Amino acid sequence: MTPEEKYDLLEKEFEKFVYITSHDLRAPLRQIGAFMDLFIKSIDVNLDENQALYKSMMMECVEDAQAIVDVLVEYARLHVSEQRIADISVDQCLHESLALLSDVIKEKNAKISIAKGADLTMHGDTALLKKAFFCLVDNALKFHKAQTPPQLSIHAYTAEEKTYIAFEDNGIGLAADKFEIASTILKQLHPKGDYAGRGAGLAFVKKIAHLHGGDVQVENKGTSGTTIIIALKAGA
Amino acid sequence: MTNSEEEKRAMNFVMVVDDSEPDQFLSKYTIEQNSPDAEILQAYDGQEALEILDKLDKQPEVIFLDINMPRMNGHEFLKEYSQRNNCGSVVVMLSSSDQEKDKAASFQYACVKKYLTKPLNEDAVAEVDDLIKQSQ
Repeated sequence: MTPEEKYDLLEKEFEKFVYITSHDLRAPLRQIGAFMDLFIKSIDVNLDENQALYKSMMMECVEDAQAIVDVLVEYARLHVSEQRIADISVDQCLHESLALLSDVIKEKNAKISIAKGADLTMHGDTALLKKAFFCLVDNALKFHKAQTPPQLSIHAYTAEEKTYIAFEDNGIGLAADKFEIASTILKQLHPKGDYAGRGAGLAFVKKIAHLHGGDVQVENKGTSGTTIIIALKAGA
Repeated sequence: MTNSEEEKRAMNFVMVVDDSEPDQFLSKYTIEQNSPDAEILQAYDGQEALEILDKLDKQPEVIFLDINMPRMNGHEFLKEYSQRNNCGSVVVMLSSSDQEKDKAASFQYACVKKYLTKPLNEDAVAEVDDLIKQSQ
């Protein structure tokens, strides 16, 4: 076995381990939440100030743990997803991934457009590709400057049998030297509460790109917007 | 709840199939909140459920069925049950996660009328109760 094969095997084993443990942790966490709820209801006649605080903090801890486990399960599931391999255009991939974001787009008055390469295609698991697009748009909608509606311009091009899709936003910016941390699962660059999310989006995007033999990189723009470029196998 | 409302409850005879003791407790508790007088049978895997159901003259109105269980899981149970009893009961899937694959595999059986994610809550039980009324 070559070192690369050994590495791949270990990585697969580890991913399986993460999936099983995170998936199996879900049930006891949910049950703790449910029993806590029943317990509190059974004594919830006149909780004093402290008791009410302990109660809300306990519930918060459980919800927090559940959210972390959910992210891990979702991340680990990327590897075990049943692949539906096909070609999909940049345009179709974007529009289908926007469906779940329409309310936020409207609420934030965001502008999303494809500047170039809408007809270019990518080859891969279409569900995962849509997920990657969803995460990139979602990030642009989350990390925007206060009082400035998010704007996202997408342009795609092909080179060496790959389709490159650049997502350029007008947000708070992501420095290139922070990209490694920002794309590590559950790592957040900003204090909890400043921006929504769990530190999962870019990690999902990176993993999906790697699963398709591609990659993701950030163009260093400091604090004046971010351009994330994802490279994927080009369609036929 | 008034007496007349209680009389309207459709769930009198229910089975919960789940290998998790805490989930069995929580499901039973929630069903009892809706239908205090319901008789609730409990089985801890599909095989045990079949053995209990085979001995009954009358099938439960509804079976709440977990998917991941040892010995015989929810899908294996459905395959056997739909052949043996021509789906005598309405089956409600109780899954620990919302997965399209599990959902599609469950709904291929005519007796499966609902797919819920745990924990079972009172609103969901009320919906199941309505479902039973419609099917009666």
